Amino acid sequence: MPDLVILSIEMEEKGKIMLQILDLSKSYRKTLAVDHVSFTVPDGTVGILLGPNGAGKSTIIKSVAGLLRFDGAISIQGIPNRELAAKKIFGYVPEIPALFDALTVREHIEYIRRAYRSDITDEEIDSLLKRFALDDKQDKLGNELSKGMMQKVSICCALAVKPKVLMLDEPMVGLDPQAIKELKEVILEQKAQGVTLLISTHMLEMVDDLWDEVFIMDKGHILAAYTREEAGDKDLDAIFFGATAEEQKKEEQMENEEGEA
Amino acid sequence: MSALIYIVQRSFTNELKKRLSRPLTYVAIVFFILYMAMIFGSFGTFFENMTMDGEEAYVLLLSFFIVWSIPMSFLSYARKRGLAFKHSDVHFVFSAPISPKLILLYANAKMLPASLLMNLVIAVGGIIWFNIAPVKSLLLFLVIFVVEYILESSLMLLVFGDESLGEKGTRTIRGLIWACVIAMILLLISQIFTHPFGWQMVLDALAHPLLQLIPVIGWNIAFIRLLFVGPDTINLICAALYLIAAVAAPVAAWKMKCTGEYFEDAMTFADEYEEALKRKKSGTMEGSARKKKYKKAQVIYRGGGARAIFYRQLLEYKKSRFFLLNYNSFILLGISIVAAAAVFFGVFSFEDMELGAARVFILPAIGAYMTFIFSSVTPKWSAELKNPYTFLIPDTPFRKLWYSTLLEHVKALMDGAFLCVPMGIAMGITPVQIFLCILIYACLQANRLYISMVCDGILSPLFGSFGLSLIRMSTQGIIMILGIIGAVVGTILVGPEAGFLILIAIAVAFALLLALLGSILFGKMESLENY
Repeated sequence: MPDLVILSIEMEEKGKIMLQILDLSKSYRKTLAVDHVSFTVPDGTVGILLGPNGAGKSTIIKSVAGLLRFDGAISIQGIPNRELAAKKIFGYVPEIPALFDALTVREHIEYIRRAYRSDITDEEIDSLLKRFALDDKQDKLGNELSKGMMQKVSICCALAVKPKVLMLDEPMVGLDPQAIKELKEVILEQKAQGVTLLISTHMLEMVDDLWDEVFIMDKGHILAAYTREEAGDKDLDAIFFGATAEEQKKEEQMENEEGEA
Repeated sequence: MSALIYIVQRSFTNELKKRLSRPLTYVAIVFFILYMAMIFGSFGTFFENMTMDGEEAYVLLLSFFIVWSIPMSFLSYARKRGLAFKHSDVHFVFSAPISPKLILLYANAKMLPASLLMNLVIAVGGIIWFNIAPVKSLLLFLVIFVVEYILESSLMLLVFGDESLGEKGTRTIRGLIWACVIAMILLLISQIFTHPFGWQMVLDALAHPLLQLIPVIGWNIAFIRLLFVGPDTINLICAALYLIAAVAAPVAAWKMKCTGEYFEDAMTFADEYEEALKRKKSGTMEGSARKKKYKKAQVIYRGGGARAIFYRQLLEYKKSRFFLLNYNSFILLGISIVAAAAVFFGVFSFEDMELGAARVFILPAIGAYMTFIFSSVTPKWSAELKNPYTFLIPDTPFRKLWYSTLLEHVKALMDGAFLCVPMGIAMGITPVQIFLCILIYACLQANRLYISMVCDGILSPLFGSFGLSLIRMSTQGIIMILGIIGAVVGTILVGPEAGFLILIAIAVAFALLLALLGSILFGKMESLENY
């Protein structure tokens, strides 16, 4: 039986896996950005991809969003991520929002409603826009908004999908303190509703009170993975720097051994 | 599908509303109508002068259009380029539950209005310029627009989206398209041996039966020839193949496997496309969106304040592959060398032009023409206005402007030398006159530079791009006319050197005036928004 299938079965046995990444590898020409990465985020939990710039976080996120070619397998609720059924239950907030120049804020959400056949009501849209202080800007065109506003629209659009899996790539960048507070609340609400979330970030303090599972990445590998229970009373700072320091020690040791040899 | 239609429909409505709310749009519409009327009029005269009339000439013109446009489109598709994806599509469309095939058609449909307009001009032009019967013209429109659009879209889907092809398959297709292009070139070259060099050679190549055998491109021509020239064995077979392809290609596209693997290539293309749009907006046409490679270089900063901008630019240019030169410089050098060689080998003679004393004005006239041609190339100085440090440097706005543009003037002198020296020697004008011609070229470039600065930085909030182009061209035109008047008076009263000096003085005076106006931009940061 192929390794991938065995791994998949083992993971399925642990419980219902909403987001599953199996042996994911991705190269850009000669640069290996992600190297045989596997992890899962179970139902109704918040997974955090933590790592420095260039660790491969965004590559994983883009692969899950179906934007990149990759080796390995990614499934959302057991459905391969490229299938339309998987995309339908999947919300995505990219690192840099890019709105349609000639569509208003409200029209962006209307587009999402149609594209995903979302059952979000007009009242729900109103309340979402109000929550992110966009209610007075709903007739503004995409090219009339500041970067922070664009990020808010991007988040509202992802929420308008009413997703079962929500993936956010550096979602706090560009947001004002009120919007960050609101987003944190939204994340916890979504989790309470059973939505699975995967958040990629390098801002440790922003996600310290949100996470259930953390995957610490560097140079295309997962260095360590912890659940909240496994971490005990350690905060993300300690976990992250502990894992990266250990890795650095290993690398130095290997270099020394190679030098001696 | 409805979501994609929604984007197109709402974007079009919002854009239209926005444009109609600007009074200048109506002025632009009037100018556009006049321009189109002028184009229709001038094309009519052009075709008359070329003695191109009737269906045969029309078929040749259409054949030329097909040969020119179709291979270009397919080559870009085969390179996973040529579709107008934007970052917003990557964000909102690629990750949405929409069929990747539909997304390809959506991107292709963005070019539909331009294609429709072009084909309407061809169809209506046929009636007006070539006396084509309206029914035939309508039939042609259906063939070249509807059938061709279906066929091209289907082939685009197959080339761009068929995942069973793989990298090897895509390379094979690219090779096949190149083979078609090479076959067309060989056909043209073969005509050189049987025809005298000239226009007729091209016309005969376009009417050649072998051209119709080339897949898709030739088959399309065959269909048109069948319609206008009448049936013969080759055009009947090839037109039938064209129709078969128009049915088979959509069926194959419908059946092909496409899960969206092309998204990754489309994302790269979106980056390049957005960068190109940004460059077009700012008027910068140089280089590509890809990262440039730089050499190592050093520069010694002599002096402070705004001079630092000059030395930093110098360092950047020293790191560039060709220092101050760009492709325009080589074009100018190429033109000049070819013209000089033509004179040297006796192919062409300036004496034959019977211009007498006005002969010395040929070089400035060519320089002025080149200034008009390359008017869309915005130089490096515009980047200074994006840099907040330009405003933080403790110096006067005028000095900042001067040191931001100084190297552009040096560059213009170098380009001017490229253009004037070989051609000037071949023309037999004196070294002083050549030197003055170089100065004239640099002055005209300085005018263009400062006109752009004033238009893009100061006037852009008041006028649209069309209005700005008009202002740019008319200001440059007025300066040139005044300069020419001064030059003619100076030449008549004293001599050509005096004429040149008057032209230079007028151009410098205007450049200074425009630079003073432009220096406003270097005093406040609000101008950043326009760049």
